[in-house]
Amino acid sequence: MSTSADQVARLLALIPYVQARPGITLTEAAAAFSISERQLMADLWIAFMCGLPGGLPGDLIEVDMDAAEGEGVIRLANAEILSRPLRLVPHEVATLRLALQVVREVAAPESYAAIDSASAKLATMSWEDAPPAVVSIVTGDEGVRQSLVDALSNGRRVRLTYDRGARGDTTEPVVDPASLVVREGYAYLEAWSLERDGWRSYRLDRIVAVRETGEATAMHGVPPKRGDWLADSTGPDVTLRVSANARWIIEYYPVAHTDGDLVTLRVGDPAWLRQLVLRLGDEAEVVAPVEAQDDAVRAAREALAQYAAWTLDS
Amino acid sequence: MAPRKTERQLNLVICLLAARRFLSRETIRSSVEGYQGLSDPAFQRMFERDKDDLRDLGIPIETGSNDAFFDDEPGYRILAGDFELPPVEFSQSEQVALGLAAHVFDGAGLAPQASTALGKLQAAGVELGSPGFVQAHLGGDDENAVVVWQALGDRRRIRFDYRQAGQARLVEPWGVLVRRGAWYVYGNDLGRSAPRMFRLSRIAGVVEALEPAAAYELPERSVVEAAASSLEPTGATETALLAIRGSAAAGLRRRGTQTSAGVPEGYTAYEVPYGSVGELAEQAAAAASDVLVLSPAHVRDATLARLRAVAARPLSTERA
Repeated sequence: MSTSADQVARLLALIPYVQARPGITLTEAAAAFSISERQLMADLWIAFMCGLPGGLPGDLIEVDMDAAEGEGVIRLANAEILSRPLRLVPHEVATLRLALQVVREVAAPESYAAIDSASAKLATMSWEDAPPAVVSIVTGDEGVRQSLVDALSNGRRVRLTYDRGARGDTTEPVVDPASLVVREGYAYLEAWSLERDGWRSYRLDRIVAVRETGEATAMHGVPPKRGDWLADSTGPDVTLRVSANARWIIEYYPVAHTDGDLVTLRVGDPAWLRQLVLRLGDEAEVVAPVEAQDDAVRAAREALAQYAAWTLDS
Repeated sequence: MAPRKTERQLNLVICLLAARRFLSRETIRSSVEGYQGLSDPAFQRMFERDKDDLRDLGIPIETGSNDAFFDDEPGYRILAGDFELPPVEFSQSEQVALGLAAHVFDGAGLAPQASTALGKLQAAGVELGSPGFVQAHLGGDDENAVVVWQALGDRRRIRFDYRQAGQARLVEPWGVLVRRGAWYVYGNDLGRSAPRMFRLSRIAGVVEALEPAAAYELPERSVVEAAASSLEPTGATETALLAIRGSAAAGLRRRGTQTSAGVPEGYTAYEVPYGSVGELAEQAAAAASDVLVLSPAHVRDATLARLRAVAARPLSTERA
C-alpha cells in the first residue's frame, strides 16, 4: 500500500474521529492512530484543503490550524458528510483478528472470553471469512499466566521457580513483576530481581511456579525496552564455520554477519555458546577467536571421561 | 508523500458521497479540485487510477445511470449506507483486548493497516482500553510478510524465488503460520502440484502477488491447522534412561520421572520420554557431563558423536 493510499484511508477515519471529540489534543489523536504528531499535522493540512465541490469557504472542511499549531488542540468542523468512518475491509478485519490471536497467547485465561467475543464481533464486520492464520508462541502454562496477571494487577511481589536456560539449573528468584511481553515468538515476564537489584527477563515457558510472598512490589520505574535482540547481546562476536545442515542457526540466533559458510554470532553468555557448540557437534566449529571454543572442548572431554568411567550397557 | 493526490482523492470521495444522483465524468472533472486544466486523456487516466485506488481501499464507488431508458454515459456515486461503518459496540474488556491488539504490529509492515482499522473503530466511538502490563508483539517486519498476507486475503497466486535466485515457485497461498516469530506460508505449489510450506525468511528477493484476485478456492481451515501442527515437535513415543547430575538440566528432569536405576555418585536416574533422537541427543550433548545417556544405545551414540567431534578439537593452548 502506498503512503498516499494509507493517508486517504487514515483521513477517512481521522476526520470522523476528531469531529466526535471536539478539542482533542494532537498528542491523543496521534497516539490513537499510532502516527507522529508531525504526520498528524500533515493530515490536518490535507483535510483543511478539502471539502464539498465548489471550493467556497462554506464548502471546505474547517480546521483551526492556529489552534493545532499553537495550542496542540484540534478543532474541525463542517465535515458532516464524513461523520461516520469507512467500513472495515476484510483485510483489516483479518489483521485485527490475527493480532487478537497473538494477544490470546499471552493473556490470562480470564481474558479469553473478551478476546474471543471481540474477535467474533469483528468477524461480523466483514463480508468474507478471515484467511486461515495459525499463531504459535512459546508461552507459559495458563496457571502461571493467571498467577502473574493476578500479581501484576494487585502489585504483589512473587517468588518464581525458574529453570534457567543456559545453565539448566533451577532458581527461585524473588521479583517485582512489571509486564508480560511477547517478542520474537517468545513470551517473557519483565521483572525487577531483588537479588540482582536490576531488571531481568524471564521466559514464561521456563517459569514452573509463581508464589506471592505477601509483600507489595516496590517502585523501580519502567523496565528497559528490549526490542532489538542484537542490541541486547553486548558480548563479543564469534565466528563459526557451519555446515549446510546447521545453517538454520542463522535464522534463530543473533547474527552479526555471514560470509559463505562462515557465520558470525553475537554471544551474550559464554555458557550459551558452549551449549550451541556441543549441540551442533561436527556441524559447526568456532574459527575465531579460537579460545571461545575452549569451554565446549573441555566440557566435551569431561563428559566423555564420565561416560568412560560408567559404561553401562543397556 | 503526494499531498495533491491525497487531496484530490479525498475530494473525490466527498463529492461522490454528497451526490444525490450519479455524476457524469464531466461533472466530476469540473467539480473536483485537481482534475481541472488536464488534457482529456490525462484526466481519463488519472480518474481511472483514482477510482481503482479508492476501490482498493474498500470504498464502494457505484457505477450506474440516472435514467434507465436512455443509454447515456455511466455516472458514479457512493451510497452512504454502503460506505459507512454500521454502529459497533464493544464491552470494556473487549476494548482492553483491542487496546492490546493495537500494538501487536508496532514497527512491522502490517502496522498501518492495523492502525487504520482501529482508527475506524475509534471514529465509531470505540475507546481502546489501556494495554496495561501486557505487550504482545509479532515481528513480521519483513515486507514479504505483508505481501503474502494481502495475497492470501485476496486469494491471489504468488511467485517468488525460494532459497536461491532462479528457482521460481508459483503458489496459491492457503494460510499463514507464525511460529516462534518466524512467518511461513502454506499453500498449493503449482509447479509441484502438491501442498508445500515455505519459510518467508528463506525467500530470495521479493514476493510478487499476481492478478487476478479470487484466483482459487481456500481449503478447509483444518488443512492449514494440520500443516501447522506438523511444524511442532513430534510427540514423545520412546523413553530414554538418563543420569542427571544434581539440579542440572531442569527441563529434562521435569519431563521425566525419577527411577532407581544405578547411576554414578551425585547423579539421579530419570526416564525421559522423547520424540526425536536428534533433539534429545542435542539436549544431552549440550548439558555435557551433567547428563549421561544410559539407554537406548542409538541415542547414546548420537550424543557421543557430538561430544567426540568437539572433544577432538585442540584447545587454544594446544595449538601449535
